[in-house]
Amino acid sequence: MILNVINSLIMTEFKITSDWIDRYNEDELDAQERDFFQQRMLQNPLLRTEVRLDAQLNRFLRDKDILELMKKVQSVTRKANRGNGLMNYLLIAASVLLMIMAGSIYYLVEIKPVSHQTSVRQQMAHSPKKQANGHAEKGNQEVKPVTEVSPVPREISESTLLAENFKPMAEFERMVGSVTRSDQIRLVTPAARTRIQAGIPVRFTWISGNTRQPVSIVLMNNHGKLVFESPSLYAGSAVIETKGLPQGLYYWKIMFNDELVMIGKMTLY
Amino acid sequence: MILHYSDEVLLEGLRQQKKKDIEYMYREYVPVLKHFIYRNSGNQQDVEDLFQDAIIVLYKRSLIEPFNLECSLKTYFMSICKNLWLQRLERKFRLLYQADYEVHEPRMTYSMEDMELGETSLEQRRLFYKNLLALPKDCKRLIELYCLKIPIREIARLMNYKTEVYVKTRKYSCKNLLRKKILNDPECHQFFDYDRI
Repeated sequence: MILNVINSLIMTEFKITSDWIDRYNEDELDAQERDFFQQRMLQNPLLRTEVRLDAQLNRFLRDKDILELMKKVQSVTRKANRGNGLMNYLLIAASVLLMIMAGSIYYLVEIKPVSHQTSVRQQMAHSPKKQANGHAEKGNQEVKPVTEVSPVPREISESTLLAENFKPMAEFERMVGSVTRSDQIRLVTPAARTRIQAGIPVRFTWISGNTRQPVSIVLMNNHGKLVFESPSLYAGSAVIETKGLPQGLYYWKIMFNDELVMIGKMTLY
Repeated sequence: MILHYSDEVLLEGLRQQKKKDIEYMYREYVPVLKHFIYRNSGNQQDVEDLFQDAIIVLYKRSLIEPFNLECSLKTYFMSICKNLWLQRLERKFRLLYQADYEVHEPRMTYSMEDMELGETSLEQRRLFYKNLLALPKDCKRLIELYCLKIPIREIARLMNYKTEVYVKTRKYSCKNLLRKKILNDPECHQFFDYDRI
């Protein structure tokens, strides 16, 4: 009993530091230190756990063969994963490419009308000869719009879209009603500013001094985008169908012998 | 060009820890292992862990003479994996687990009982290794050199430490850091419970 008390008094002189765990497992503690340490282990479960862990850790660290093998297996696994990563990148790239292709198709489908108009316009530029050979020389020529107005982003709501269609275009607005050439052609109908119910055809009539020179009518929307261009017209009138055209403000141009004669506007309501 | 290795060549390669043989085994065995693990509530990490553990078991086993295979190496490897996985599931989920064995050979030729490497010990190794890798570079090297029983004077020279005393002090602090890291690892409590001693 007395000895135990003396022992414990002696033992309290020691201060256990973390290196004691290593030294205990490596048998580097002297007898007194070892006794003190073992006493402490009995009282302290955490210390006990650490000592046990350290012993197992030492065994693990001294197994050089297995450590080397683990290193190699890990590097093989990492390499394989990198390969998978590359494959993932390729898949992402393929997806992006696919999206671009889908976007292109969408773009072509949506923008195609304008391109088509351009091609029609180009076609028209080459058509006067054919028309002059008797195809277009009839009383009233009905001309159908080539397409609808060029697309507007889809996110815009329907009411915003409609309001957008009625916004005047400053450049054309200034020229509405002004006649640039009146010596050889005079427009009879429609008036420079007209309001027409959507779907009702518009009749253009004019008197021309020289019937051999073709007249063409160009219709644009309020953004200045071409809606359609008529073929060369040799008779004194033409009817433009508004069926299918969205409500909104449109500007028309009368071209005579490829020169601008007059600009007018019509509101489809 | 794809090379096919015979089982004998692979085993010899594994005995010598040849990386290309381990790569070959990974390429050939992991798809089957993955299929098995995914079907039995595992994930990619489990596949990689199990591959590593099974390679260690196979390596240790291959060093024991004589090592005669009664089936293909792939079947043997898969039986190691399945046994390890079963034990892991039992330990982790404490459930009676019925494995869906899909081994085409007439019998399982591998038993964990004849191995010194149990599933727990393998998982413990992985825990140690993971945390060893997480140590600062100099700590990791110092511990490795120390455990290789390289003289302290030589370690001081290799590590550019001025005194041998510093080598010891640094080694103690690195070991302490490693122990703390392991004890703070959530997986540690499967192996080191305070009340177990």
